[in-house]
Amino acid sequence: MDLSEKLRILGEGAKYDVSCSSSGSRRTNKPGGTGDAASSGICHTFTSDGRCISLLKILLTNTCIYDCAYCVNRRANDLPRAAFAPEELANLVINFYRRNYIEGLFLSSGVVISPDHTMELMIKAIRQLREVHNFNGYIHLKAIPGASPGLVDAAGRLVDRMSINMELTSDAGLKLLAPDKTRRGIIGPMTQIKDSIINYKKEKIYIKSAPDFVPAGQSTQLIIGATPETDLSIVKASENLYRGMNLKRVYYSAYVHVNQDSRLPVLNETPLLRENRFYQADWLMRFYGFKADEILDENTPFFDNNLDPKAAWALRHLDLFPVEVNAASYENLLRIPGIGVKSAQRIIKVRKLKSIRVEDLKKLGVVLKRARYFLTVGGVYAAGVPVKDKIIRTKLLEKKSLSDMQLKLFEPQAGFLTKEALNGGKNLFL
Amino acid sequence: MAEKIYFYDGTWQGIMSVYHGIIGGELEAGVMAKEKGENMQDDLFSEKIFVEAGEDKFTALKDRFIKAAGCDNYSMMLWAFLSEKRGIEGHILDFIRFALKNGKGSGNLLSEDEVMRVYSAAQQVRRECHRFKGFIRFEEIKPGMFYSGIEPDYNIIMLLAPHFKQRLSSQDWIIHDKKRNTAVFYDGSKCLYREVISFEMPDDSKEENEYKAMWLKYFQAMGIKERKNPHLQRQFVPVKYRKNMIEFDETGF
Repeated sequence: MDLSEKLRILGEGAKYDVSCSSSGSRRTNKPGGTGDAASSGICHTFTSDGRCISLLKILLTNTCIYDCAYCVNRRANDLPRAAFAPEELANLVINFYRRNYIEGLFLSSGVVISPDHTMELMIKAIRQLREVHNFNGYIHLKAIPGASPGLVDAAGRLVDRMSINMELTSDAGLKLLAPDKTRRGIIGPMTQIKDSIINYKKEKIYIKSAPDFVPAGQSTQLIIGATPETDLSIVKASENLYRGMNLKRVYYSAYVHVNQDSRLPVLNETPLLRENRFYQADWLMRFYGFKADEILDENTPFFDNNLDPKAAWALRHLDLFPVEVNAASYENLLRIPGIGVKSAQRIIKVRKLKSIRVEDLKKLGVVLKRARYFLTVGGVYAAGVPVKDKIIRTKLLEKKSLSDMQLKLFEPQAGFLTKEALNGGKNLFL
Repeated sequence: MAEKIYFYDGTWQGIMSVYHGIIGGELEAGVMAKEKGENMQDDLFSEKIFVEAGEDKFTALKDRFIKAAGCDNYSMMLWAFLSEKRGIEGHILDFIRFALKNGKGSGNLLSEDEVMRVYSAAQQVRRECHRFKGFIRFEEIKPGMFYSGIEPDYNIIMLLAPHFKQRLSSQDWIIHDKKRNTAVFYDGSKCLYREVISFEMPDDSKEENEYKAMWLKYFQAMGIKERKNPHLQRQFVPVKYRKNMIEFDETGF
């Protein structure tokens, strides 16, 4: 099989993984080497579905001994199978990188023979890149659930980020759709990576030459819409992953119907809006100080189709509004729909110089269309409608069709035009 | 009295020398324009003065500014200058005066016009520069020598050079701004910024064509048809940039 056909097959098999982030590492180029990972994330192009390509996202092989119901590469599927030889892949990566097609490698794989055997092959390819080609760019490795601790450790010293996809948050879901995987096989290595990151960091305090271990941190992915879990339970699971596993990122992937299988739901369309709501909730937890059970609760266990989770929260807590822009704390400014991290920071800075007027707000990046119903400026409430749920809700939804929102509200991928980029390389988004 | 027009050589050092004169009181207030720029007015009633770029004047103002207002505000001005927007020289002068008075936090005071004008121009330049760190495509035109031709809205190749010098340090490369006829050349140790008189693209080698074809194939394979969204793709990769990116054809798709 020629190389370009392999590239197509193994790229297609990897494309449902959503992460493409290439930021947050500190690996720098060495003399005579190629590549540098110590920068904010860079997107190199965007596919026809508007997702960024930053890393060469590819499988080492799409042959797999497992039969996960949702996965395009599962054993039962009749499709062309291919595999890279380690040197073949390393050579491709270095040549793509030298042409600035990519920011690095995102290597994943189907499971051949055993988890350990697969991990060994992946490590071989990465070692080839790092040691023979002297490649110092970004590498994200998808660890294989069930791989032995020794291999996870060896891999962690070579790569920038490692991830293990959780995919399904409940035991029942996992048993139903991925019967070959166990929760233990996922949690085990995840915990090991978390502990190693902490331990290697400690070592580095005393020994400067100690190796980095997964310097860009660990991430995972959850599938949205393949099993009947509530949004609340998934947001809670995500919160636990951030807290308990120190994850840098949790990615959410709208379930795409690729296989015919009676265990799978039949959805008329890919739940993109729901996926987007998860990213908004994720941002609220990571940068806005929200807890999972503030975003959703037992009475409202699912996201509102029409309102983003922050606006929905604000409408449930109208007793806290309106907030005075010239007096509110940073934390309370962040709770106002239409005010983000950047605009809240700017308000605080400008406030030191003078009091803020209504006409300043737009310049400071506040989205007045939403924010005006939730704030006062110098004691004046300028929205001109009573602070009542129904009224504000109607106002917020004016001239906003659903399809419109689906187009526009996507997660900023891999730091592209995000604050990390504009903050001169400070990695706000990891 | 006739209005003064100060001409400078088009460089940052040049305009800083004009600012030095105006702020120090040696020059009266006036408008500023590039020597070879399009805003060279044929205005009989104004007095035209050419101000020579001076290393001393430049350094004096630079040091004074950085001491009073910090490096971040200084690079913000430089980025804004590289936007080459009409009238940006005057806006930067206003900002220098504002920042000398208000200190290091000046750049955050976006409610003030003096800050906002320079900030927004700088932001556009910074954004385009960040985009091009990803969108640049090199091709190997001779063994070990890589070329990229781009047509950015703003004058960003000098800002791009350090980024590529860091990561592609073991190959020679050229980034050619085809719009401005300038280029940065990297020879394995240092970057040179030069004007380009003419450039002829050699034919691609067989190997080069193979990499291009593989990249295109990979790019096309990565789209998920259930999620197709050309509108979103256009937001992220505006059509104007696509003609220099090999994964898009001449029509931009």
